[in-house]
Amino acid sequence: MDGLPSREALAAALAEMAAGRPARALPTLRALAAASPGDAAVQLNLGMALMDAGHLAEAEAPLLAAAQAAPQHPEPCFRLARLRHLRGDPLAAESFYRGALARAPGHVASLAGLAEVARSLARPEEAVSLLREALLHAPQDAGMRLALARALVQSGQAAKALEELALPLRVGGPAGRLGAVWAEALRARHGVEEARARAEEEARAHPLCAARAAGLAALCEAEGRGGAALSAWRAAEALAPEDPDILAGLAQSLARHRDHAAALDAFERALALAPDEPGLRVGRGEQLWRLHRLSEAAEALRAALRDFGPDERTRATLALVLVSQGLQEEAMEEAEAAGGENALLLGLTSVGPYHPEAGRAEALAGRARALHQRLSEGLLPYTAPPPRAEGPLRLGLLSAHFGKHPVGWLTVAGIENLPRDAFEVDVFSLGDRPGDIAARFRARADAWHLIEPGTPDAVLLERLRAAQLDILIELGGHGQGGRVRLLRHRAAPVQIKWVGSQASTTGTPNIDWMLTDRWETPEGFEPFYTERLLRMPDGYVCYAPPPAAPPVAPTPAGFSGAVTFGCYNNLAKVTPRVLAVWARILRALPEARLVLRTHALGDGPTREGFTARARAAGLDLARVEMHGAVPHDQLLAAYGEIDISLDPFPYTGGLTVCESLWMGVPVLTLVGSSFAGRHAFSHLSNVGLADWAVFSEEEYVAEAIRRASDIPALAALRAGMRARVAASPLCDGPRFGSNLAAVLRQAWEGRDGPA
Amino acid sequence: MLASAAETAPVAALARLMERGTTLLQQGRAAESVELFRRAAAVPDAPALAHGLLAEALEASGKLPEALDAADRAVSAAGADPAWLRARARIRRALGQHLAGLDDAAAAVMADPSDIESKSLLGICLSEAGRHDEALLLLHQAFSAEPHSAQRAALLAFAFLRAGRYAAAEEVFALAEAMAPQAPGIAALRAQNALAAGEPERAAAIAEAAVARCPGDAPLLSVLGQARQRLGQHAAALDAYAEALRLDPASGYLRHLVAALGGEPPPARADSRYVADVFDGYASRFEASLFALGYRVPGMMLRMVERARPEVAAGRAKLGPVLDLGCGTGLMGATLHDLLGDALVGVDMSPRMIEEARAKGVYTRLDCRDIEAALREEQGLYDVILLADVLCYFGDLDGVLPALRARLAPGGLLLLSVEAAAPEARWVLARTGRYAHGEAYLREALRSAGLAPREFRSEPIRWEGENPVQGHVVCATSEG
Repeated sequence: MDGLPSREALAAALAEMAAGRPARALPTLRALAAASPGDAAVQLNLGMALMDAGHLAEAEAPLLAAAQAAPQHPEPCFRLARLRHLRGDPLAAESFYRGALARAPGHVASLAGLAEVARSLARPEEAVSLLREALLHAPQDAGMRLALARALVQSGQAAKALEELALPLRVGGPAGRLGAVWAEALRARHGVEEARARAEEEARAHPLCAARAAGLAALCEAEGRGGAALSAWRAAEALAPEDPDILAGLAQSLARHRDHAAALDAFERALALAPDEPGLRVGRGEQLWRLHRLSEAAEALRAALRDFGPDERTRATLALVLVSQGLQEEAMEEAEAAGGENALLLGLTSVGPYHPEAGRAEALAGRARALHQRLSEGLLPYTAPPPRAEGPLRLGLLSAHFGKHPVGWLTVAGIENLPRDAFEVDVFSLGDRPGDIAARFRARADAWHLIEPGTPDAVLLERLRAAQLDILIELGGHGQGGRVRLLRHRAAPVQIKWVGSQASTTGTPNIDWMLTDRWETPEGFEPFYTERLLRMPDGYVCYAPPPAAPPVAPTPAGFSGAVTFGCYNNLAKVTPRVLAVWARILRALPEARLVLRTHALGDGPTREGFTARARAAGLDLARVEMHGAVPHDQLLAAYGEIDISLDPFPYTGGLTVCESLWMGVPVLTLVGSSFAGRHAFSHLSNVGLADWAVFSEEEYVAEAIRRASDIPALAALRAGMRARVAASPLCDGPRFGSNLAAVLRQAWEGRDGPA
Repeated sequence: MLASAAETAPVAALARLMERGTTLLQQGRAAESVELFRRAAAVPDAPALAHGLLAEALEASGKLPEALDAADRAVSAAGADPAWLRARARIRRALGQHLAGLDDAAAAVMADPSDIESKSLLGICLSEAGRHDEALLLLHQAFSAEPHSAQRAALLAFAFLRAGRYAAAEEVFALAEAMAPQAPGIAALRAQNALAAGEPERAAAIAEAAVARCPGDAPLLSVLGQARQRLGQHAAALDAYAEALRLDPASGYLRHLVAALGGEPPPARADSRYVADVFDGYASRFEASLFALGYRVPGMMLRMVERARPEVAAGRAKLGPVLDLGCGTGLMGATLHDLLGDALVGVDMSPRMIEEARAKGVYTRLDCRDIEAALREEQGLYDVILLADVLCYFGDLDGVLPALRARLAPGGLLLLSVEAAAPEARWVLARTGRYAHGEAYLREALRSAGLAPREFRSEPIRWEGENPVQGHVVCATSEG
């Protein structure tokens, strides 16, 4: 390269880096470095750009080259230290930081880096003296002062930390970070309740101070007052609308309140200010996913992985997005790549059970055992309340889903029919849901504990234990909003898993029982579960049909002369194997049609991908209708368009099966081995339609063809279906309530038995 | 981001707090807006608007005492701004301070006599206070200003109903219902009016037609149940109540009615919300209706006290502290007034009743709360404890009597009245929603609680139509 163009090119690359676009600087820097490997400035900038773009592994070589080319310069040493630090090797980082300081004793960033190493290695006093030294060189550096305050808190000098914070609180500083450190210091000094009260008082005295508003928000969260926290984040945002940390706090709070559209907006505003913050990128991806904007979510998360390199949480979230798109194979790969506990949790609940092989009971059990072992460390001691000589048992229910949610529809009738003289019911509701199902839970509850969004584990555990429960039923699992993992520390002498991401065993220590039935888990299934199996005499759920459900429509095949199949399950359940089986059925029935209806099909690119897979599986797309989501009453009415529901596998329908039956439409299911693989089998058996369950793909195809060929029989079955379901144990609340009472009593009596 | 420092740009920051807070309030996110208005209101010389919007946000979040503080500040900062006077009137009414609410509504009208909202609110307050002519005048003006508003018509009609002018009410309710046939609340009130007019058949017809138009409204079904019950159609009434309960399962009022008609096992005492709801709807008419019923209990109890304390009756001594549980509108307080020498504490669950009692000016303290809760929290001992027509909301007496005895001073008097059940019955829940007690059970419950009757009278305590209602009125002291 010529001198002049290379200088211009270097200047252009540096401009890109300064503008926060390191990836764009890379091609030029790479070319320059290849042309002049001994140019320290080029090598150093290439290393820095690679680091900023998240290519940490690749950054090593140019930084070493720069250090060799300019041995007296502190910067290559400092960058190598940062690199080691980011890659989780604080000891190596330490020696490079020291190397940088040997070359430039006042190198502030290296002092700060060393302090950070000291803090992470639990040497907070050393961190304090390093930061004090750094502040001598850069007394105006507000970030450094915050780091010092944080180190002081860690070294048990909260009062000193508060003194350090007085200056930035008076003259200003990065409000979000300042508020966070201030909250930490107040909490360490006074305990969380007193700290929150003081923060409120300070907020009244300084009503326009954004940092104090942010600090108050953080303290409200720590105390389990998520509602007050959200309002405080709102105030902080109004006072400092350009502070990325405050916007991030607001976004997370909104997400916890399930206000995903507003959360997405806040994440995007934060990202515009701090585009290189990996947590914000993942947060944005999560919100897109919750809003069913699946392809955008996948793209956002993939971009984060490209820019910042592999990250456990990003991969875990991407796995959830991919499975929602119906990409079970890719989702499983991503889940496993995430590694650690995430891989086990996803493999057990939100991704694994959808996968044809990973979703088999044996495979799930293997992951459950590994998770169980992992979660068995560091359990907090628990003392059971003394059992009462007589009187009702105190039953706790824990869930985020006491309302219009599958958990609500499938448990409310059973809970409200639990005899009042035998059970006192304490409901622990994670957040609030409006509506009549929620009101029914409230009406049965003897005590209602609202657990505000974002309540920390320790606070929740304390509240659960304070209720002195005899039995605790968990209704959320490892899914979104579920807190079953916390119960490994135990909050009641008897702990039971019931509906709510109940796709498999929980693999969680101290969950004593799984509420099930003889169809879900027949004799011999015990080895697949880390819990004992508590079998209900009928099905394991009791369906509460919606009072406003439209009447059953006549069989559409009666008019058209040919059967219309349908599947209103989510796309995560529709695997390529399912598509292939459906294709065989449609090929055998040239007049038959198939209607699919779910959220993911409303997302353009996801639908295109799915269409391509359906075509590849041999489905005649001219006979397949695809619809996005519709409101619940319209979804129920849409069962009027189909004659037979084709259940997916290996993750079968749950509430969807109940709704299909209630709307008069029989369901053909393929019975699997996992809990999720047998939901439909349980519900069908419970209403006397076990002959609609088959055990192989061959049978599934043959049975679909046979049933579709007898339209009068379909019409007759449909005409009597709602009455049949209404009269069956599936909808018999009083019967379910008294059976539930009996098995809970059995679990209580057997609490000291063999695990 | 360094620009977000402390208090650098107060004007802009305050403006953002107000603007974002208002947006949140308009979006129905009142709870989220609270902290923004709190801050805006904490700024020195904060605008009245900040206090006023804080009051509205707190009111909508159910934080009424704090909302009242904010409304006070809004009113004092703004002078006589009708908007904040109305807000404070609403908050005070929600807190059960109806007379103070009326004052605010009146001040709002004075501040701007042309404001229809204020006139309407004042009309409602006057109507509730029984000042019917003034109420009707104002609500008629509000209605005339917006003759196509079903809500204005319904408010006027409701005031006619409260004034006992049922024919006029029916005329305006019919108009309101025609304007808003899909509003179940209007039909429910129209049916209620027909019931009050003594026409249960018409009430049932109105309610049934409205249920057909808008199914799934619990208050409407509740009125339908009442109409059917009045017609003696108990099974059909139970259907309506049960359907209403299914829609509003948290309603203690409906649950109690369903139980009273045999749809559920009777609870051991009436749900506190049932009692509060019954009496809140009843407060201003309560005394008139009791006198019309030939209610004798206060007089009987007065005489029992006089017989037990001849020196008090003769004016040579006064009673010690008196606790009036379920004091209602304060009839007992007024009856015993001449004998009082110490505190008179009244407890009732209905805020409207408490306010009526307060207006009598004889109680030294009035607490709006549940009797059992009051007994748990009360520390003092009383010379006289009164339970006039209160235990008809308790079935089982085994818990409440010992708690009463614990609050009785040595030698103190406990006076209670109950309706009489068949002698062999313990207690029953009647279709009226009230409990009645058998004599043997009552005597046994008193004995177990360590209470000895000085007088135990079984005689009519009031009249229902042509029929006397038999009761037991007891004056007891603690044993031993």
